[in-house]
Amino acid sequence: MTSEPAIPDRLNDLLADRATVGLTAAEADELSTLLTRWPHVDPNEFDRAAAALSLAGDPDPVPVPPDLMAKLEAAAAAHFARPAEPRRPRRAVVYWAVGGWACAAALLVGLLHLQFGRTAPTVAQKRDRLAADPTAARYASAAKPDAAAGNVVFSAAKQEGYMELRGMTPNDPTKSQYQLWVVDTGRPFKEPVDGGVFDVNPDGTALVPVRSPLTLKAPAVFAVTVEPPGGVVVSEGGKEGRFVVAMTPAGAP
Amino acid sequence: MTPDSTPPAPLLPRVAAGDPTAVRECLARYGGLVLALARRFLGNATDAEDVTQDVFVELWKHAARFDPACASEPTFVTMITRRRLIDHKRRAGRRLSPEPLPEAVPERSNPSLFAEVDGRDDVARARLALGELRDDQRNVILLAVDDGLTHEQIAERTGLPVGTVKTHIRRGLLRVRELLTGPAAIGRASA
Repeated sequence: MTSEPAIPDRLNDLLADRATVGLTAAEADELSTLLTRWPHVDPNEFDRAAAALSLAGDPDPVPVPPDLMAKLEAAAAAHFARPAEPRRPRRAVVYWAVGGWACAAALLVGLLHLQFGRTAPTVAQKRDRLAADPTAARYASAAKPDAAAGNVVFSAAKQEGYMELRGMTPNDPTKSQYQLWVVDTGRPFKEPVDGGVFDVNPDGTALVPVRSPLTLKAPAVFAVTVEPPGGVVVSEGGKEGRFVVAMTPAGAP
Repeated sequence: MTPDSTPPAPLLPRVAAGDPTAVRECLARYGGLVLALARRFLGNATDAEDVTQDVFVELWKHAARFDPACASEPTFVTMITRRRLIDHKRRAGRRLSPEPLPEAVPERSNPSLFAEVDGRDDVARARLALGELRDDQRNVILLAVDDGLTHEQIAERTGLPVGTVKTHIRRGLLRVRELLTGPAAIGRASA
């Protein structure tokens, strides 16, 4: 006659602790080991019990502030993002594929810079010029202390826009890059448009043009996520800290 | 709306399929619940909003794992919420705020609108388990589950030894687990 071995108290203790106060790394390792010895144990039963107890306490839902809801919607849009049409592959791939042309282009850009660099307007100057256009729309993140913040000026008529960020965490471009997404009116919620990949300056600021491969009609949200170097075509979402900041029409509730 | 109305249809299967309407409905249905749980557990409005964002990213990521045979949708959402809250609290190394938010300490009495909306069996069984416990045992487990207090903090607050606190929590969870999973207990719970 065979029977399942009794569950040791230690296993129940660890599961109960995980469901209420969490475990140390050593305890988590110990739990994993015990669970392999008692594979018939459902490791989530205590978590479900604790969740049911949380609900048994009748937590009355609280109103979600509009700025938080905007962030939640923007993060959802970034998570469920998928390409509206075939777009560029990751830049890293491009570099390998067109390395020779890139070198030539770099030389050309350098020469052009030497000849025209002093007279070409900077991104800041372009942004200021667009900001003076009364038809350009303005977007801003919700004011929140000690958090990343940003603003966007965008002209649908000119298909030109610029985003300025501050309070960002400087990134190591070899490990991650920031990517801008645009949730455009008339386009499915889950299909935000890629607005370009960029890096943040060491002082936590960035001023970048909005680079959209598609015509943007009336952007509702500009959202920034952290992605692998070169950006992604489809944001996978889910990783901690992936969503960073969202900017909605200035003056909107 | 009636208290015994049929629970609303689950949204997570549609969320997992990328239905944008379901995503919005999910935020509308559970946003306030997640934020309320976070405020109570963390006692800090700013942290609660940050974790709420993390919770929903986790929810989008794991929506396909929702199995109505294992738990109701609100319980599944709460389970994900609690994991993020516990993780956040451990990493932040924080202790209970000495000045918890007023709204973070709601009364435990009247059945909430949320409880009426979905008529969850698992929550009813959890209430049954709570009803079986002595007052001191019930108090201990709610301090741990709702307020996110550590064993030591609960011991300090209640005057009970830490070992007793751990025992109360484990027994309470075991009883709820029995009621959630045991067929005999289910019949008893629904009686």
